[in-house]
Amino acid sequence: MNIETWFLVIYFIAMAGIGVWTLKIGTKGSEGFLLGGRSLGPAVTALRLQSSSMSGYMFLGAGSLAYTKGYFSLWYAMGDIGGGVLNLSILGRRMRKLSQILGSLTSIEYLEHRYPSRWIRAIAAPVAVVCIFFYVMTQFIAGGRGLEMVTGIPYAWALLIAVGVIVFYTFLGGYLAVAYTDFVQAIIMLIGMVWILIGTLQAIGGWTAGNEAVGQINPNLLTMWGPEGIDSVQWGVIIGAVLVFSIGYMGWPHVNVSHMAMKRPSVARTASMYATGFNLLFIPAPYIVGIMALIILPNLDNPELAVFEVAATVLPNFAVGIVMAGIMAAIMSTADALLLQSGTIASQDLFQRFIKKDMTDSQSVWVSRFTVLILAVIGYWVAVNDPPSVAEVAIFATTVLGAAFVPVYVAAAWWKKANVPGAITSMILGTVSSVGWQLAGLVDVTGVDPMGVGIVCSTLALIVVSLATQKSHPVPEHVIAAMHETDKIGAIPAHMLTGQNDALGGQVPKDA
Amino acid sequence: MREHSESDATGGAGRPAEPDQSAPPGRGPATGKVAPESALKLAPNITAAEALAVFRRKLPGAEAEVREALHPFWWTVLSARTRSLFRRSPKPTAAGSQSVDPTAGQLMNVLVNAYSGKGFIADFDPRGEAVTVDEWLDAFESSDQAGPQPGPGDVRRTARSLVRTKVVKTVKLGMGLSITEAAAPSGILKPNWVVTGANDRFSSTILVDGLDSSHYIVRVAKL
Repeated sequence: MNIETWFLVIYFIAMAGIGVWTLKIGTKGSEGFLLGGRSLGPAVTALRLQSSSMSGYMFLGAGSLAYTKGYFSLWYAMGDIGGGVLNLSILGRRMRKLSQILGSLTSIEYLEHRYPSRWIRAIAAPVAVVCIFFYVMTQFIAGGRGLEMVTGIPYAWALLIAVGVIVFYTFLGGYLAVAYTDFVQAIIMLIGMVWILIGTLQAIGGWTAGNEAVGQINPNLLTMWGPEGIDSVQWGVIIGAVLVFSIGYMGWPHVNVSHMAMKRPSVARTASMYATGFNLLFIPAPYIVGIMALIILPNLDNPELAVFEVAATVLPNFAVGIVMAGIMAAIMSTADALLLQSGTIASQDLFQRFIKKDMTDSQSVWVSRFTVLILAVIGYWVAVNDPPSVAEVAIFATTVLGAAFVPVYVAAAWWKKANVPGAITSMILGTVSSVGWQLAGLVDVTGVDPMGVGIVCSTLALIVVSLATQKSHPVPEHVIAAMHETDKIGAIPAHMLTGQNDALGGQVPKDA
Repeated sequence: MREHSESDATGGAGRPAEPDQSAPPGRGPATGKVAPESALKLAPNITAAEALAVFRRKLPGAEAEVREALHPFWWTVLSARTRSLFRRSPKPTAAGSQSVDPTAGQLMNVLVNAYSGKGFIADFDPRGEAVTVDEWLDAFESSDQAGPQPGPGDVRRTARSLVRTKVVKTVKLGMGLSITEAAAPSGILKPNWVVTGANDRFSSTILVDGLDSSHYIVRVAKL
């Protein structure tokens, strides 16, 4: 076994160890398994949010974009850097407070409580599960490919190991395991990526020398307008790129659940500072490495492997092992968050809501775990037999999630007039328009990204339909009261809490 | 008044048991339970009408009746005092006496459930009418909760643990911390409301906290 493989083995064991460590807390009940008992501080909240939203894309897609489009790719980086702080600032504190007042455990349940109608869940849950499943499958494939490249073992076995480790600790500890492994993974990702960047800059003789060399290949690569220059720039694609990675995060149920697990609503403010610090250090690195790969590896067959190949070229063997652990960390942290979210939606939002209403906490946790297992098996089967294109499926799934859910999540926390018909129309139109735009091939014809189209359609639908149906479908008084309370800073008054005070269970008289 | 479920009298402190330095506790005349020397009945902050409103929020349109239920707690007061690592001697005043009482600290009221041993630091000053120990024991008998039924020594340990945890979160590294007992454990009766009723679909009994109106669903049945 080579030294790179040893590092990966140690890394896998450490991650599984965290799963075992959180087992006790995770099985205390639904709130423990699904939200870590609402106990997370700012650092874990921020880094968990960032690492689970960035995925293997940062190591595969970002490097590929930079390798093919030069500094144009930084439009994506700009959206990404601001995404975390935007999400935490706009949704963080309010979603944490409102979800506790309304007694919501999952991000889909939160939507149903805010817009009280079973149709909200009936529409949102399947859309979320399908998109999340496709996305998690791409992470499996990326994990398997990465492991295959480092260890040299066949893809099928590499995939099985990657899926096995992810499922193992998601299965054991639930949200807390995922949150803490994501936190550790974010740090490993950061160290690995910065290490590659430093090695790359040393290899090319510094940033200035690198830029001069890239300029000799094509001067347009040094501009923000793409390889063909400003005359052929597609503004619609630029707007879409910035939207996907800035406000797009706010529509991802698996990312938003971070807000609901915070220790206190005020954690959001500190967490946004951590998130910004992490983003500034981490996000530009893969893009710059991708651009500089043009000099180090000018004839790369597969641009998606730019960062991998540069790491293998410029770093010593032991460092490649650590960096590969970082890359696997990015892939796995997204995959586990997505798997857990799928399990949560299946158990809480579909099974308990529509099939077995009197399900106990323990049964709910087990349904969640079995769902995770079943999805992993299906994902493995598809990924090993007929693996689809990672980048296309991942971008498509996240685009649909963003288009369907961003307006309803933002309005849920901020707009007191957003009502049930508005939310239903918004989710349906957001999904249909983004899927339709993509499938009809209108992206190439118009140069407009489906994310932009989807967001515009779903936002307009929410505003117009909500205003038109205010009289027939007014927002319930208890929701309005909860939103007024959410406007305030400070602790939630006990009378606002929908959930019961379990400590009072120890004060029930005999004859009650 | 949510109890701190992590702090119970049976080991929540995570420290070796301290010798019980309390005065010999009183004994209930009939029950043999450990009883306090004195007891107090807290006045409810929440009215019966407000408890009914909580019930109707859970069961819209319900007809319901409300009655008060008292739950026995232990109450102790601790004084927590922090001091700097480089403490200066208190300056004498012009008259030669010390300017501050060196034993003075922040007073914290800790209430410990007489059954479960779980406690919480009250964010209010417990006030109410004095009642006899027999009334406290009657309230004790009115419930059949399982639990370690802590004595004064357990109550002291739980209270110290809660106060220490709370203060340690805010003190700076290197500061000293001393916790002293400002009042020995005594009995206190906490008011709750038992609300029973039904609407056209469900019947239910809910316990509403008499201090903060949080609730616990005792039972619910579909009609």
